[in-house]
Amino acid sequence: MKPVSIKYILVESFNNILRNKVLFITSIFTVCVTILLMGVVGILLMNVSYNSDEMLDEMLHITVYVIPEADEKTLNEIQDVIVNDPHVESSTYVSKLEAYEASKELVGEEVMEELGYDFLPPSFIVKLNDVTYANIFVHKMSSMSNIYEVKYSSESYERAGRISYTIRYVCGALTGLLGILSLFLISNTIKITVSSSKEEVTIMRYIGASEARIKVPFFLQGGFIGFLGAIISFIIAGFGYNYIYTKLEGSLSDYIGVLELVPIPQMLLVLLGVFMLYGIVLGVLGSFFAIRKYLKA
Amino acid sequence: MIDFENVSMIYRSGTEALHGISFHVDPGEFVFITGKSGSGKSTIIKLLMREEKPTAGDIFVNGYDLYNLSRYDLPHYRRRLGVVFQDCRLLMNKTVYQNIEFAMEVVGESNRTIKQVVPKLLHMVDLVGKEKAFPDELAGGEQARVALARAIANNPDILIADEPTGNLDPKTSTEIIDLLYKVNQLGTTVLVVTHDTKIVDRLQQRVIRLKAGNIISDTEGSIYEDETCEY
Repeated sequence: MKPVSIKYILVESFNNILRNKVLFITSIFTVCVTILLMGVVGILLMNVSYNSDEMLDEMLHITVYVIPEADEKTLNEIQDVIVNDPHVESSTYVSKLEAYEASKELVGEEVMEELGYDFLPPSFIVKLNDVTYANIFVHKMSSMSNIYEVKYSSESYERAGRISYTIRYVCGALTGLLGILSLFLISNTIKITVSSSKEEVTIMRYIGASEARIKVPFFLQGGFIGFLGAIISFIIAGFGYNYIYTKLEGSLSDYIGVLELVPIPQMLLVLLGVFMLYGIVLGVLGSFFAIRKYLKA
Repeated sequence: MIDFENVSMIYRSGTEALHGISFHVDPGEFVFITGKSGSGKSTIIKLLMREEKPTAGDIFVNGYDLYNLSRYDLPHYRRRLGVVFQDCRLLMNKTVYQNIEFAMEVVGESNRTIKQVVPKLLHMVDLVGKEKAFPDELAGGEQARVALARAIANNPDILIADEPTGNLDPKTSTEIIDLLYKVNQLGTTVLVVTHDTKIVDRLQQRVIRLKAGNIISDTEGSIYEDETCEY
């Protein structure tokens, strides 16, 4: 495309906007509200995801208790099996003495002194790199000789996973619905712009303007609506999140357990990218639907 | 330049607009197409503009087969046509200058060319000093002249004028026809669809007469007065 054409298209897009100022502002506002609503859902989603990942991470620890009578050779053999498993990310050995010290804190020094530490089983705290492998690993270790017990909170893990997935699906569906709403609104705005430019478009066609030259300004207009809507909603969402984060000092632990908020820079970066992409794609898609329907050649 | 070969046109509504008409127009000709309402004049313009495809027959213009013209080629074909509409169809939110400039911009002319050509066109149609006026600030004749300037802005091979004097007084009509003739003298083929007997008589050019979708006469330099036609 010639530079003069690009200039013409940009000027035409701008003129279209100026010609329908009120409509343009209304569209930006509606897109902004929609993206903002989606943003709220997104922020929730990210925080749920962030915390469920953290929680799941914690739950991925499996404790393998070895019988108290096990000698050093047996312990080394078990350790070898654990360390050589490709799904094991890390493992920590907890000796009888370390278990004794930990138990003293739990049940009291006097009790533990009387009981001694010889009856306590040494253990390995294992962290897996793959959640789905947990049950297989537990079964594998349990079936080994000299193993006293394998502890793994599978139920709580699965429940947390289910909750996390449910929230993700609900939020995803909500985001999709809001997307359709935005699409409809942008499409409607472009439709009205197309209607008000009908005479101009007819003349352009008679004169011999190419379809691209006729349609691109409308696409740009849609993209611009989406872009501006995204920028404004990003600013609002960014300030809002910053305010909440600062107010809560990055954690909801005072209110609901261990919930930590996603750090501000990480959140802003994701919001900026997602909002921009979402806004522009919505704008261009909305334009596409309106043009396809109301600007037939 | 323009070839109509046994062209028939029946609209979807069932209206039969043309019945196998044939005519040929050479480059540089000035042709009036006349006939009363419903005779098929507007259909010829629609076919030439490739707004419609003929039901039967072939139309060749400037080497383009209009029936088989692709969507890609359509804008290129139309760039070689200039059209003056009866209602002028000026863009009311653009000034006189911008209306003419617009026609050149949309086909990708450079700013430099636009700045050179538009003043010349304004001079030719005698609208110097009215560049910044909006269409609704102009008289009917002036609007027609803007429409004419816009139609010839891209130096078309063929200029089609649909009832260009339809809403004008006799004096202004004469001015517009003289301008069309001037454009023709510069080498452009001109087709004027009209039922204005005075302008046809004045120029004494070729006249194709239509009646109920048929050509009833095609005469060179004819005088319009003809007892066989009712207008």
